[in-house]
Amino acid sequence: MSTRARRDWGGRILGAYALVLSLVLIFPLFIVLVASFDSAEYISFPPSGFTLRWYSAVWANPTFATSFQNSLIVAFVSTGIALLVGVPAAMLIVRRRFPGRELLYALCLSSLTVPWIVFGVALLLLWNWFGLGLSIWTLIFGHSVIGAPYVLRTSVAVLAGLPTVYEQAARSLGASPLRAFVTVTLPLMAPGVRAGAAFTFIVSIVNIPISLFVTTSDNITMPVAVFNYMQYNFDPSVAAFSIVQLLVIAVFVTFAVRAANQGGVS
Amino acid sequence: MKVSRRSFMAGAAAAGALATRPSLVMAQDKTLIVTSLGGRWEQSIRTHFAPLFTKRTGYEVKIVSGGPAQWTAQIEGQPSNPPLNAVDNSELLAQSLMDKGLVLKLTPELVPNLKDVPAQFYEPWDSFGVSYQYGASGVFFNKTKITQAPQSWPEFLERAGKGEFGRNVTLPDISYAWTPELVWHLASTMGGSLDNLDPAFEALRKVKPYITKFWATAIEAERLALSREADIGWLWDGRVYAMMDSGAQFLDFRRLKPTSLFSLVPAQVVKTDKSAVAFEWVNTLLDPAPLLDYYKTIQYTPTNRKVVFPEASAARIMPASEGVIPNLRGLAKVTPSIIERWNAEIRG
Amino acid sequence: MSTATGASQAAVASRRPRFRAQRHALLGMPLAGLMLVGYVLPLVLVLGVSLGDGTGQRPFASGLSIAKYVAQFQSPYVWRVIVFTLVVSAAIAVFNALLAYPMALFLARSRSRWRGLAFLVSFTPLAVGMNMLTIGWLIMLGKTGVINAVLQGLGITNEPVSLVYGVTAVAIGLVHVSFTFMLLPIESVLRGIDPLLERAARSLGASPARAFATVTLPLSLEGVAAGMLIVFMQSCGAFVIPLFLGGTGTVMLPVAIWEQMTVANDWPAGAVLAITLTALALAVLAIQLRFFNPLRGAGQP
Repeated sequence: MSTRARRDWGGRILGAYALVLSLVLIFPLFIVLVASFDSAEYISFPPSGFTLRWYSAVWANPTFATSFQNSLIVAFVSTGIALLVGVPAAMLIVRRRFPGRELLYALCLSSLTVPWIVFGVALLLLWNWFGLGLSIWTLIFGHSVIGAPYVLRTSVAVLAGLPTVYEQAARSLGASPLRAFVTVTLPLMAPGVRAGAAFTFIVSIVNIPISLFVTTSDNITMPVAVFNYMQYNFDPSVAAFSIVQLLVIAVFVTFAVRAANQGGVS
Repeated sequence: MKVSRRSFMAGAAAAGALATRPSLVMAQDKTLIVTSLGGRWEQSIRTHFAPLFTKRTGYEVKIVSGGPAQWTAQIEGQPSNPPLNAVDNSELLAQSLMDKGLVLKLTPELVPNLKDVPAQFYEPWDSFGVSYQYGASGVFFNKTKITQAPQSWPEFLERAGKGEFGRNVTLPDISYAWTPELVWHLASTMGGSLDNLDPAFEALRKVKPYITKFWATAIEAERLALSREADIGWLWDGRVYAMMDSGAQFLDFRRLKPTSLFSLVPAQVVKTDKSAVAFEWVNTLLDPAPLLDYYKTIQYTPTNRKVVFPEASAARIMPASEGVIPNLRGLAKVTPSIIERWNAEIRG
Repeated sequence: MSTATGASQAAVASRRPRFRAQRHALLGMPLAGLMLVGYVLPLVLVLGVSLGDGTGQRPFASGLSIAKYVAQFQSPYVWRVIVFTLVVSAAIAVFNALLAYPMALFLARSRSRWRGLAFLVSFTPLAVGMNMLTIGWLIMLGKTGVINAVLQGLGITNEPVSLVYGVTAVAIGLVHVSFTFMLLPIESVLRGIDPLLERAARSLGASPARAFATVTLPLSLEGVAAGMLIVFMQSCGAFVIPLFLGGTGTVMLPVAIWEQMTVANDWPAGAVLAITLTALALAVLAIQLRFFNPLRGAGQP
């Protein structure tokens, strides 16, 4: 009885800590929300009045609609590509033994470590070398390269802990390898796949440095639009733009976070 | 390497046929791709210049926001198929594009408004670029704290270096594109030159202990001024006037003697299949009517002599004869050494 | 032990018909191809630029030269930037680990109905992006900002204190933005530790603190180390935060790269620093794979 009570006490301290830290984590974001309604010409604290005009300014800005659409296209398509290439590779790397397996794993994870600003510059050099024009596809390609390792790593983590007996059972009952994978393995590794997809999506939709050097009028994304604006302006529409961006992606991100939560990301 | 590149290209072309198709279609339709700094600059280009241009040519304008470094990198990276038709460049990068033969010469036949612009705004680039506006350097100051503002650059640096303004002085950092020019300009007002920048560095070393922050982007300078984190500092006229007009009544601005440094934005026509239309774009940028609206929004002075300024703000405008810029070719040569010295002596 | 089973696995695999092995290799081809074209080749091009002897951005355009490497590494300033980047990133990794561990413990152990919400909150640093975090902290830390308003309101200080544009602000920003990457690996490892182990220690008479310290903590260090490596790497590569929240004394490698390429317009010099930063990151990846590789000792059929 007494140990149970002490245990709860420890739990309560942890709970209180989590509460305080959560507040610290979101307070600066709350401040941005407050600033977005500030009627002053420049962001300041405390705010000097209430207005919605910064939101209407965002709404009236044609770059907003373009960048909003682009961000979603880039995030969804690059997540899709990352899944298509990442999951099969995870199957190969975990389930098969072959020379160079660890090297292949390291190669496929390597882009996880690349400093994004270096990668942004490197991609510009790549497209220049190919002589390919910059477009939304070149951006999707870059985000896929960054995202695929997340899918690979979370899939490998889950797959490494899965016994193969289920697959073997399915195979022995006459299922083809593909059928065994789709009906047995994939559902079992789904949490890892979901978590990887969630990461890929989030990293893509908030990324600035990769896109900086390869932005054109057609492929500009939301965070880059805000970054470009912030370099030369500090009126509250920057805050309003950030809030709108957050609201737009909140739906997807909440879904993605839930997926990551179930997946137990490592 | 050529071979591998070609075989790569074959594969990429096949795989990317779908990807490149839309941009090929884009190239044939009636859009011109131009550039702008983000925010109120972009808004002004969009609302003041673009409609007039579209009315004259039938072409839509697409604006790429960002900065000169990105734009120049994109043009230099794809010389055979530049992603931009016209670019608002920085003074030094404009020269880089000109030297590589990627931009076209502007003439009064192609750009009629050029004849109303003083030569000092296109001669630095041998007519391969023209600035449609200029900013002038000076100091902003908090007039409730500083009653006796300096009159000249040497006086400003000397008083700041003695700690007279406290640790409330601000200057740009080397990561700001105009700092190499600023170093030259300060040196030149104290007897130095591009070959002898010592006077500037000597003065800056003395001011360094009293700097609240060397800012990296001009918007930081504005924040420093408005938050009263800095009482006095170097900045362009237009930015300070814009702050004063939007309610910062404690701020004032003064151009110091003997000269002000120009901030110029050379507009350039990139060699593309739409160059003919791009010339008309540059001509629109020099047009007096939209330039006046631009001036009212941004407060940087139009270079076209035909612009008639509102009486209230006429006193603010610096006559073009009082501004200077360095010899750009010489500056480009010494910029690496300025950066090196700055890193060693100012950041050290 | 893992090597032994791995070896026997390899032996089994090699006895399988050859065509099957090849067909399976196809599974890895798309990702490997993507990495070769999208990661390795671009970096080779950066390497090519760094070996240029002019200032242009064309890789392998002129003769190869290591002049830029020599020049950069002879500069005391460059060394200071590198050391500063490493020291700050390491400090952020350590501090972040201390900050995140109790939160991870809460997320892994608690059955509170607030747990889901806390998990969502711990994702905000990643999900809101750098712009919003930067704006938020600028308003928080500025001389006319929230913290100064509170300090002066409480009469703790009379004059505003300068909090922003220095190493403190950069550190706060970087800790915040990389928090999620620290939390998740710890939480995931903690969740995998069987609570029965700790209960067993308790039943043998250990106090809760002692049971935690001798059982759970050592087992969870793997997650802590993994998180620290990721955060270290992320901080080394951070660009937006040091650019906006930092000052003259807080130049980190990515900002230095940016300056070389945009202000100096010296692409080879920027590429030298980029290659340096990439080499550091790859060294960290090598450490990570050496010590925290799920392929070793796991996934046995």
